[in-house]
Amino acid sequence: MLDLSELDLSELGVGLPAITPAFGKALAEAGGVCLESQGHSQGDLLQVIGDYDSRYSLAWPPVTEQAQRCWNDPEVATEHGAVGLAVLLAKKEIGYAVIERSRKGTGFDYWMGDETNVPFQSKARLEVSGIRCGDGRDVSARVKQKLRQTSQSDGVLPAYIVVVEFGAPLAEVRQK
Amino acid sequence: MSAIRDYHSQAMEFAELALVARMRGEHEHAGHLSRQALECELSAIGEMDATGVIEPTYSVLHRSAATLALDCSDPRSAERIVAKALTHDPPSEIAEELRDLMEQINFKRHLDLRGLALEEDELQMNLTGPGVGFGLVSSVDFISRIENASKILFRIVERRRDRPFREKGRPKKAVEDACEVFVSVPRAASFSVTLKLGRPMAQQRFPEFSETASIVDEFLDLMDLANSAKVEEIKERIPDPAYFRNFVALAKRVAPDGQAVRQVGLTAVRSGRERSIQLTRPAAAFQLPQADGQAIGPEVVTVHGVLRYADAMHDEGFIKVVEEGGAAHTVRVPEGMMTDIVRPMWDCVVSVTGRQKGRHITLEDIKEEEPGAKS
Repeated sequence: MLDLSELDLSELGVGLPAITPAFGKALAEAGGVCLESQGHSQGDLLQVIGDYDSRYSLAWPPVTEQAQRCWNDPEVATEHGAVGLAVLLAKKEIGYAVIERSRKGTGFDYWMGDETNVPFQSKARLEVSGIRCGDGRDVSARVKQKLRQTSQSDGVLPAYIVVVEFGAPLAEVRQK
Repeated sequence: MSAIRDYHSQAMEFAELALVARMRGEHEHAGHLSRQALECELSAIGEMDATGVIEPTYSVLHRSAATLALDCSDPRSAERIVAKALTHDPPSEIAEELRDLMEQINFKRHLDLRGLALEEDELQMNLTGPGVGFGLVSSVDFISRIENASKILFRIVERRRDRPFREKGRPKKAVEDACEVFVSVPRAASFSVTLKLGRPMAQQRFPEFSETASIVDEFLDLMDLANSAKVEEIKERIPDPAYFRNFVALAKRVAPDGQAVRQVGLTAVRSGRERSIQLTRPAAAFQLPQADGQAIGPEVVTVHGVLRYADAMHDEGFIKVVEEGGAAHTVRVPEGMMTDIVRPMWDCVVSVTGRQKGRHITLEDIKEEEPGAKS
């Protein structure tokens, strides 16, 4: 019998170094809304591809009507749901906890690494992107787009890219 | 140094709470929390100004603070914060993100009418992006958006008057009179024009005038929903499938392409207050509904070639896409797409995406291509 690890979005509700319990709960809610919108049930499998190859059994807190109303903007819900899954995957797959964040765009920009006195020193960025319903080609295209953005800006900051697709569901993880 | 971390952590906790409050519709509370977050982030920056600049911390804190200033509807503070960060030496990626932020700040400034008075039957359209100079824009980027916005307005009037969806021909004269679009001289604010709805004579008649204002309101509401991908809410407002499909396809053509045009702004004035919509969702992210409404259907295919009429009269609703080598694909065009979307591309090289079923493809999306291009 295949031994599967569990990826439980409810874990976000206890908080992480860079995520308060209240926001962690909100991210978990967003993830649940996205997964249920695609007809998934508790225990469905998340396939991880790219620089990693694994599968996780998914769990999330019950999706209430209030959560549905809260996350009725599909793009915002997809973005935050993807962040929820990516933060958990970063810990399990890359081995780093997300320890910093800064305000960016419609959400936050997350950084992984060890704690230092000055924020954002010797850290790798976690670049997250979400697709509510696509296929493998959409995920690859999104990863390529993120990689292209880096080469254009000739960046020096190390980063990991996580693209989450909720239809399959699927997550591609790549190191820049 | 730990004071920087402490202030920044507090700032982010307030920012998270603000985001959750905004999601719950508690906008006033969210505003207060964002303001507290901004003050903490500025304190973190103040500490670093006193102790010495360390990158990327310095520029990341500035980018974060400028975003928080925008959350507080304070574009002037955001502008000052970004400008200050750029005078230092941020890592290239953060510098690029700061420039993107400056573009957003400028866009908000351009949305302001700057003393220009708009009547209730007028709206300002503003384009920004790398392909838009100060007062200059490619005519293709500009004209196509005006044409497609006009088509949306005509369809709103026809739908409101309970007309069945018009699959061919021009709108009736009464419809044209109510919302024909007149374009002002462009202004150098990125690129801005005023769109005036309705013929000048018709505006003298009060009932027409008030209808025009509510057409503008509905146009803004629908474009706002399209920008937020609120498909179900659009469907509630446009239950007729042909009108619905037509609107989504036209809204996609008004939306920014994400390259030359990054943002399209729409501003109107109601009861003395400006109402602005920022369209930032790129056209590529718009998904057109399937013809039969099913979630999973036959395989998606894309064909490239010259768009031709179908051969026989009984093939109404069908088109042909003829490849360079002569192979022809028959494509069924669902209701709502032929007149406004497909017909303007006759004899052009197009790529058609759709679902192959039997001997024909049911069209989902069509776009014009450069001859010889295959993407």
